[in-house]
Order: sequence, then structure tokens, then C-alpha cells
Amino acid sequence: MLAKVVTIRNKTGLHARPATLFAQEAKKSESNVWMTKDDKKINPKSLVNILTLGIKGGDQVTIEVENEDQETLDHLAKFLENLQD
Amino acid sequence: MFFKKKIQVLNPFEGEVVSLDTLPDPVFAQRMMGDGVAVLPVNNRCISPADGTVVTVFPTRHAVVVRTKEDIEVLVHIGLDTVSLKGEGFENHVQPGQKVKAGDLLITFDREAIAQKKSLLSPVIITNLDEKKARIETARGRGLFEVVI
Repeated sequence: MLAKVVTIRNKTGLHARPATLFAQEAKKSESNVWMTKDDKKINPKSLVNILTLGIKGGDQVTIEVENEDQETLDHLAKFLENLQD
Repeated sequence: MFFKKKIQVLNPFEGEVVSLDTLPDPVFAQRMMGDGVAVLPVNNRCISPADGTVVTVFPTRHAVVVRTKEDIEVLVHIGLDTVSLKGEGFENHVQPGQKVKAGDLLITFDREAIAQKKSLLSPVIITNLDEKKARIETARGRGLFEVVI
């Protein structure tokens, strides 16, 4: 399992629109993906799962990807960092 | 034999129903979030569209997700781009994990104050249709629409 800590840069955090875009991106991965904020870990291939984390701008989240899939991990981390409000 | 179950989704608002096609936000108009409709509320109350459990209330209180016992997720988003109001004008009456009945009050909002800044068109979306291999159909009676699973 590979992991990376990402700081959410868009001010409004992962509300409906950015969370939808991230869930779509995560769904493209064949590997299992996990997202953790504080002590809560979810599968981000579901929009609603992401919304339950209530992620705000400036929050740190950890992305984990199975199968040593470095490419997916890097892509999803970058996608999160570049999300717009 | 395939048995199809229909779940009634009530209108969480009082107001006219419009197609998602008319919304300026592609995440809604292109059904990226899921299928549903939008409503233009005429009062300040958002009620639960179905019996279920509150899964999440947004930190800014402008949207809420209720999951039915059939595991169908209904996202109710009050207004468009209302995240930027940072919760001002919204008051939530439920907490995540709370069981609700269809018609229970979820959120109240200052309709007139919000309307001065943002569109009040409020999408009501089923976010896990694909996963459940479900679809929505026009409802009979007082439903907003039906989810067929």
C-alpha cells in the first residue's frame, strides 16, 4: 500500500462539485483507493463517502492506493491539490 | 422473474420542479453527480425526501444527504454555488447518523437573503444510481420522482 499526505488548497474544500470530480477520477482506478481524514477512512470512489469527511480548505488528508500503484497515487494527489472552488 | 422495487422520493421543498438540463453548473446539468431534478423553493424549509438516515450535513449547512433503507442516497443541495455563503442563512436541524422520516425538517434557510446573492434552484440528486443499477422515473401522486431498483 502506497500513501501520500495531501493538503486541500481550494478554499471551500471538498463540497459537492469538487468531491464529484474527485470521485469520478478515483473511479477510473482499477486499484482500491482509500482516503483518510483524522481517524476516518473511506473509499473515495463514492461521492457521498467523500462528503462524510466534511473536508475544508487547508485540511490534510491521506490518500492510499493498493497494488503499489504509484501512478494512480501521484495522479490522485495532484488532482486533489489542483481542485478549484 | 425480476422484481422491481420503486422508492418514492418526496419534494424536499415546496416549489416548482425544473429539469437539471436548465442549470448553469455542468456537474448538475450533465448528471456528473447523478440523476434527479431541481426545485425552486417558495418557502424556507427543507424536509426529508424519504425515510432513512442522515449520512452527512455539509459543514456549510447548504446540503444534506439522506440514505434510505434500500441504500439509495438522496443529496439535497439548497441553491447553486451556495457553498460560498459559508453557512450564513442556513440552520440545520439534524445530525449525521440521525434517523429521519419523510417530511421531517432537515434544514431551514433564509430564502430571501440567499436569493439576493445566489440562485435558489435546488438540485435533488440520487448519487448512487449506477452502483445500484437503478434509474429514476416520473412519480405518481405527490412524489418528486421514483427510484426504480
